[in-house]
Amino acid sequence: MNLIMDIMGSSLIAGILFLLILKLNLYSSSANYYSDNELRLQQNVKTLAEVMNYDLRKIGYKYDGTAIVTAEPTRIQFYADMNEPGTYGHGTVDFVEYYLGDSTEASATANTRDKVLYRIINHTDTLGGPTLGLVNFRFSYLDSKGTVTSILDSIKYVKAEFWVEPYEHVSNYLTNQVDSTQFTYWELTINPRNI
Amino acid sequence: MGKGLLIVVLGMSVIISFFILKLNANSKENLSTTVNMFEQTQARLIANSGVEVYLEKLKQDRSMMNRSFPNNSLFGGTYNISISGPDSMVQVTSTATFMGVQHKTVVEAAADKVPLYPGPGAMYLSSGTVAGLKKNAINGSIEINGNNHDINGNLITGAAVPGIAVDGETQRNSVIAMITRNTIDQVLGSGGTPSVTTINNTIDWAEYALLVANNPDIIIDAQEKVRTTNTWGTLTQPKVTFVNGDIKINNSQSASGCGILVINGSLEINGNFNYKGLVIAFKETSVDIKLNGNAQILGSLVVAGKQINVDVSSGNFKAFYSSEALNLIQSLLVTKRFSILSWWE
Repeated sequence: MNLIMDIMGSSLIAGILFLLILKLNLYSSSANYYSDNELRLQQNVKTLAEVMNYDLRKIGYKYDGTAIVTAEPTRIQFYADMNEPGTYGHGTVDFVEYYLGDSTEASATANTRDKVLYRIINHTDTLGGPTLGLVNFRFSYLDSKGTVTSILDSIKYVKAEFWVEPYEHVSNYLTNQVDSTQFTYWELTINPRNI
Repeated sequence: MGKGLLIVVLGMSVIISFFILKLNANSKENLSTTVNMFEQTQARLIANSGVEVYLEKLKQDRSMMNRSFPNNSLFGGTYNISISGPDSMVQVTSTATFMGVQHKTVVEAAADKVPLYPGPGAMYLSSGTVAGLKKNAINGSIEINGNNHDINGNLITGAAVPGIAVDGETQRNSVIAMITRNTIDQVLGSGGTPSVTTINNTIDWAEYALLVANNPDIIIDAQEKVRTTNTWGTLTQPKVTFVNGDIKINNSQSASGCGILVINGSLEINGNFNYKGLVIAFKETSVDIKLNGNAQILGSLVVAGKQINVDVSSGNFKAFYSSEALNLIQSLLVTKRFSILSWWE
């Protein structure tokens, strides 16, 4: 009788332990996935910030006249020599355009809201690239006093804001609902020295 | 049973450890992503500051041109500078390193030329100065000549300007009354004798004087800076000289120069004085020329300060208009200030 009780008791404990390990495994997988996504978000948004930071600081470089041609919330066009002094192509002023595509262009990702940010040099060299999870993007243009302006000559600062979400939806491991709250927001205000 | 439990507990500890390590690695990577952005920004700011610092130094010391200056420390990072070019196209390259992240900034700048506004006459007295004129403000052996002179003070052809230019009829009458009272008959130039003419002055001389005085080549702001012989620029190297404060050139001292001389304060001249170019007295300036020697200003004298007193007891005072002197300083004068032409960062 005692033996049967021992076996039943140990089976119960073993079962509880097994369930605990299973739960821990599920939790760790979900947390890992969430954490990986967060890291990727951060890296993606940083990549976008680096590209914007590099390009927008060149606005008006080696160009006489009003360097910014178009100043819209999702589109900017400007003149600048984009090549570093001493490198091939330096000395020629380029026409640079950035604009945000729509969500239908990024159909390969599970996220239905992500969009492609296009970078076009001299009307031909179009660089779309991966979406990097970009779901929204906005330019604002400020004058020397920090006031929003639409007068091209008065623009002294360009503010870029972007919202990035994961490519794939992340489900909450407890509720199994799609967790749509995971996103990263980044903003940078650039004072191009050549305008 | 005990061994079994131990194995299970150890197994779970290993699994949890791996899990925590993985989360920690992600967290660390996440942090380093953000920190790297900060490092890039810091490197850029250091590089940019390096350019500003060295342009400022170059203003003071032109011998720094076409040289390199490695390993400067700033904000916990370092930057290397190289400067090249003529004055008209100075290129400053700054390469900064912060926590292993590098940034390069290349800036082109040009030495700014001071704009030159030739004085409207051999001597110009602003309304404020005329209002403060004493009865015998200009007295003794004095010649104020608005006819054109060469760089050596010889009369040449060319459009004459007023001997003394003033802002209005009231001022003109005051000046004529004063020079008549003191029997000064050598005020020559356009508009007859005495050549005291009303002009339409459109230049803010005080503002112009400030602009020029902001970047002087020579500053005389203490009596100790006045030597026995003072040279404030030459014909080949005109200078911007700023006399700021109460300065006296006594009868054992002399001063000569070429360029633009800006005076703010009190300048008392007892010794010999010879200046070619533009002399501007402004703000709180009270110019006292108590001559026992000779003083000559070849170019133009603009008095937009509180008052001027020229009292020549022996020797003589000459203020001659010279377009040649003014043109010379216009072509040769450069300030040490730089204007930015392009900025790569």
